[in-house]
Amino acid sequence: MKFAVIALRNLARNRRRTLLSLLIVVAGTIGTLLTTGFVRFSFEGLREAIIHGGIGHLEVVPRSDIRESGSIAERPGLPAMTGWQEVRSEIEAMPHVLAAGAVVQFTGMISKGERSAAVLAVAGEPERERRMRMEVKLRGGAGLPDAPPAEGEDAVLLGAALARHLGAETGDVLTLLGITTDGTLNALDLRVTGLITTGVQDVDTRIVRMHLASAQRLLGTQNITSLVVGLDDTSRTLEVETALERRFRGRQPSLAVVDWKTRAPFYGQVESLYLGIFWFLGSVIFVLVCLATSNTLMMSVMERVREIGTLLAIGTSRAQVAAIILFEALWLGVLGALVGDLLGVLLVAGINALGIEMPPPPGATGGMELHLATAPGDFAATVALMAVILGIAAAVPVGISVRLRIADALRHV
Amino acid sequence: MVVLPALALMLAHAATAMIAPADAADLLKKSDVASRAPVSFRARFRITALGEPPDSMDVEVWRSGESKSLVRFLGPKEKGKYLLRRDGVVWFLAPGARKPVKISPAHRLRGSASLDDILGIRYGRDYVIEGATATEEAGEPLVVLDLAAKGPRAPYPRIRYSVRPATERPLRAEYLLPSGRTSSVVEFLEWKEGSRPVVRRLVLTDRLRSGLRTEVTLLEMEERSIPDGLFDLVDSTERKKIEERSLEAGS
Repeated sequence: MKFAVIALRNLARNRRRTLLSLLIVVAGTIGTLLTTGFVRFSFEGLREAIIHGGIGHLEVVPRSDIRESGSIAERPGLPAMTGWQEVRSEIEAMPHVLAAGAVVQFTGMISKGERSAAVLAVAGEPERERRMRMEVKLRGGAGLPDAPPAEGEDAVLLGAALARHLGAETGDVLTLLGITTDGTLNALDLRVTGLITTGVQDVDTRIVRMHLASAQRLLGTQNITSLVVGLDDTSRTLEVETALERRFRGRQPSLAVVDWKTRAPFYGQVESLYLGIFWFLGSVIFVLVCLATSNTLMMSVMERVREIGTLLAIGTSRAQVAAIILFEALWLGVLGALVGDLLGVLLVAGINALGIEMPPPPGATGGMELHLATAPGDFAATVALMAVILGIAAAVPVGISVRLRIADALRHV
Repeated sequence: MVVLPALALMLAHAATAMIAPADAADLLKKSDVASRAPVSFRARFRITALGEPPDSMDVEVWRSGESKSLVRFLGPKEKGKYLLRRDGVVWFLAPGARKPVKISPAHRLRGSASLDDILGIRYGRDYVIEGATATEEAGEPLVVLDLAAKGPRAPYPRIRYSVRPATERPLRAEYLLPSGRTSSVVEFLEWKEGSRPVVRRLVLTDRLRSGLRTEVTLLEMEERSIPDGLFDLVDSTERKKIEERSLEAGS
């Protein structure tokens, strides 16, 4: 404790150098906080966009479908899930479940006059999707009505790029062709109620959304592809997944429970990419702070060679001298990180208040507002990180000071 | 050791021989049964995808002349659905769609059977002979004609067409892609005899989809005049009359 106080007093002896060291640590702390905030913003934003874009937190699907199509988001095979109303009742009675929406996915061909396009059709229940906090990003017109449409009044939402390709607008009637569960062709007229975007250009060129009842009418079935489960909190995903697997164990036909991350391998790829960038930037900050502070600590030691020699001459042990220099470094790290945290919070708040629009990432259709996300743990972590960096930076100055010979040190000019 | 391959080559040469172009053209004309089909007729076919389990559907075909054909789906859930071909363009009509939708002429009705496979390809009219070889198969003479499409109307660019000269009936036809790869093979297995013989049963093997086999069986055929209104894209009155008559007849 005594050495810690001495080290703190030592910092006040050359205030300009101490201030320089503190500035380096403050800059490093702010840089780390901003990078962490951006990475967290990207992860959380992408995660919630994927989940609430239609995938949901969990999917309950016939295990045979998993074998055929894998654990991916698109399941364009014929709807094979029977008895799903009973399964849904069981799921919706569980804690943390907001709702379980029935989904039918299939591929088909949509036509407007002479123009046609192959599409991926996704049919659901708008009312339940709203309960699950699913987002349909409208680019024009209106969403699908909640009630199942009567025969001849079927409606559709078109991907914005698909609508451009077909030359279709809100109010147009298009014809969707699909293969029924009996293997024959069928067609259904659908009125365009709105244009949507999924945020991914490639998907917008081929997606159509409609009411579950319309899809079942076209495909001539009451089966569904899967049940999409929405939870009140993403962190509950594993807990509910485990509970569902336990509940459906041994059920025939066998059901599989797939989490959102498994269905969206894209998220894992983005996560890996961003973590790589984060570690690279972190390493740069680490090296810069380490070298810069090591230099000022070294200067501090070199200026105090005679003083250190005197301390050793009057009986101060080399370990005690080393402790003083190490404590000086740690003080710089802790104080600099605390100031950096404070300034970082203000900077994050300022950046978020500016509402900066980020350009769309590759393949996406729209930009997003930058909103850096920080967590309380980040501040403690930056303090600890800076203390460690400064501890490492002090290694060389400490080494030099403990190797000083008293006679040489006292002669040092 | 050199003698054996040489002998095999000589035997192979002896087993196959080129035939005169006039003879080949005559054989193609005589074996082109689709060209001798009635001008107007109504027929019922059963199309069965020979999988496990077999999956079949019945269709009724109404044909008037070369350019107009109507396929009516007879399954209990298929009421009101038609495929209509006019001048080479195929339209799909369904109760859920107010307007007809243009679809590919190569659309598969069931398994790998397309409309052309059911109505018959006009080998003599739409193809030209590029080569003809006389050979033997199962101890009987066989002529293999290499056909090339005359124009874009033909459903396949090239066909290897095997005909029994003794009966003047086709044994099989191999449909080839522009790359030369075999797309599918049709085997003509049974015939309905008469003044105008027609294929009663044929089997299609899809070489692009793991050898998927589809059987097409002619259940009945009736030569008759067909009202032109049946092929009207907009006015469905005549087609509704067919549906009503079917309901009354319980079919």
